[in-house]
Amino acid sequence: MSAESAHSLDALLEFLRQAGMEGLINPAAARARRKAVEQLMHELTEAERGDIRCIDPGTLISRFHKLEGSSIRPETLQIYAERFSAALDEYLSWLEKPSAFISPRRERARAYLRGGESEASPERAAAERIALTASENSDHIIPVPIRTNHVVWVANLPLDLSATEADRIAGVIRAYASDCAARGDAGVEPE
Amino acid sequence: MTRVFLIALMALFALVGLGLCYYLFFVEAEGPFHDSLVPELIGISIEGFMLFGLLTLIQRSREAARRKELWLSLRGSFRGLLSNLDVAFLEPDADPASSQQLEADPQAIEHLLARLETRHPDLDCLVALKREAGETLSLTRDLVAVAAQISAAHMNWWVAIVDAIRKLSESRSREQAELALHDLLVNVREFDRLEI
Repeated sequence: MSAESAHSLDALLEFLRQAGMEGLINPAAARARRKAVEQLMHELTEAERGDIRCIDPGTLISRFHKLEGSSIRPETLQIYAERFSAALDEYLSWLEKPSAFISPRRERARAYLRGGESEASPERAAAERIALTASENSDHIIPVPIRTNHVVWVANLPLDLSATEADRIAGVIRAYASDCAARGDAGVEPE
Repeated sequence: MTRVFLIALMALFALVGLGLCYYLFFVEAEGPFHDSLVPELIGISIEGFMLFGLLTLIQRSREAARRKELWLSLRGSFRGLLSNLDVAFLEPDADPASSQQLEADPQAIEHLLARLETRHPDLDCLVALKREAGETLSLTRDLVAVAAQISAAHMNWWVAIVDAIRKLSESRSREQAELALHDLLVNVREFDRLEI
């Protein structure tokens, strides 16, 4: 096989077929990678088909606007991109040194069994709560934890906030404090 | 009026019309009934067949197609959530479900429910589901009026689906998120079981 044809898309597909059959790669993994390559190959340019070393999976998935005849599902496309990328790396490393090729590990399972050893410990449950709570806030909302179980969110601060403006915000917050000296029945005097 | 009743009515009009035609053309008879009334009755039979039967059937068929389109629009509106859930329970090296399965196949919901009963999605997937729920919520809420166009029962189950999506978007622990996911899937299953 010439160097050019060895780096073609057809050679990659052939490798995935043979590697699965010969046990070089787990058959299920080889089949999944081959399916991913087949899904994404339609958007490859002629140059990329001829030399798979030119392929950047990140750029490739940005060309898609539909998958399997339907509108795009980013999470599915991401899975295919990861498998495509893994297939490329494995094939290129096998080409470089077949004798040193190590069979890749299978993908990790995203879900774990209920009631098993992986069941959440209190620490893990706490970490999950933090992650889920933090996911509600976009970047422009600043969390200020004021007590162990109470977080205040400050939003919409301008990038060029001055010290005077910060003092003004602090003054408004201070007015809400139950032990604030300025707070009384008469209320806060307007500026 | 059921479809069967309509077809029976059409058959009745057709039989009466054919019988009267036979009587008019092949039976030797005289008199005002044979010469005047029978042609009138044949006309009434044809009108009945066309107006009550055929046109109503065509209208019902078009209405059913429109409702099916509405149903597909509704089901497609939270495809992203189902897709994330499908990925969350994806076995290593398995293929994700197709878009068509997620949008229209009730078996996909049963499969996801069965997986949820035996497995926990990992944290990354839960966060992705929560984010997707937040993004989907306003769209699904806007579609309550569309669900109402199908039937009152569809609207009720749709409101329940929207509420489950809201709970998921507001969940702050695994238990809350998984409970909301379970509610969502059960409500979608009930929504799918309704007759369109």
